[in-house]
Amino acid sequence: MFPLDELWSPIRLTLALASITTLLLLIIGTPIAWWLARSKARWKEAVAAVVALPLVLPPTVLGFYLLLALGPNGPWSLVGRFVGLRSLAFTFEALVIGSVIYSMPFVVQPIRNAFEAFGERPLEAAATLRASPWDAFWSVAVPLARPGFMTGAVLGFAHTVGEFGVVLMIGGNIPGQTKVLSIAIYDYVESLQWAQAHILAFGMLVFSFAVILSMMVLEKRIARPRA
Amino acid sequence: MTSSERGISARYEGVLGTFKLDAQFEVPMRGVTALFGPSGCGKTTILRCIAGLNRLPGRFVVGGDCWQDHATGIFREPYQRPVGYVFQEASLFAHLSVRRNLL
Repeated sequence: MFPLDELWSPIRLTLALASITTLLLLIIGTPIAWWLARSKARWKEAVAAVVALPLVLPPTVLGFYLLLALGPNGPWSLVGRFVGLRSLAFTFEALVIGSVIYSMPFVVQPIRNAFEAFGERPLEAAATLRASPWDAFWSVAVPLARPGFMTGAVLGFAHTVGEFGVVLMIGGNIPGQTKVLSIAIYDYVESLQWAQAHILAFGMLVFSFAVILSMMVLEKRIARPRA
Repeated sequence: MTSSERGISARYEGVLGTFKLDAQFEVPMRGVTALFGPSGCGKTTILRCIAGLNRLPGRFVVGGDCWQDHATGIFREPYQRPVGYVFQEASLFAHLSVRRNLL
């Protein structure tokens, strides 16, 4: 048989990438979703469109621009000189940056919807009970929007696991560094190693099904009134 | 200090959507005061202004303590105003139990 480690490495890498990306997206995406849900600024829909852009943009386009931006001659190199990393292209960090942008709409949109769903009233009630905006956000808005956070996290994670185009463009194909699952499958098929491709592909199939199913069950549970 | 500054003194004049509010009144700092009038005359808007939930140009002083003054830009946020407010519709926190809603 073939060495199992060769199969494990892309799986580990993919899980690490998706976990870090999801965590970062929850941290970055929540204030964006909050602003999009609450702001009355006229240009907020323009910001919403930018966030949603990866939905329609070919991943290769996003990957191409990221490659330019993170490469040795891009804007990053100006910052990178101080950090000692002249180019981020073809590194794990580049994959994280790319994934965060690419999966952003899948996290921001459900959270924004959840924030919009409960309206102004609970926050007004919290304010008249003398809760500061910060307090009201954590003790009222976040718990009320919990289903949105869960949906966003699951979708962001799953979408990052399934990403291919962006990774191909900015990650290259470095084993243990940027060779994630989808790339590994592609690689195995290219080199006619069907058995390995089968194992990874079928694993992805089962994983994706499990994710979608658990999310649907979870949503049903949350939608039911509390006991 | 004038006598009105020792009580509650309110003056609101502004437009909220299509509704134009123009109100001025003074209320003593004791007892119960009722605000009544036909539906749509602005009772709720005045109460929301007092609680700080709506912001209309005007001036609101409680016992010499200025909560809002349009001229100088003073505006106390709702959570900084010691008022109790009962909404017209039930406004319970859906994510809390009955006990936690009360406490």
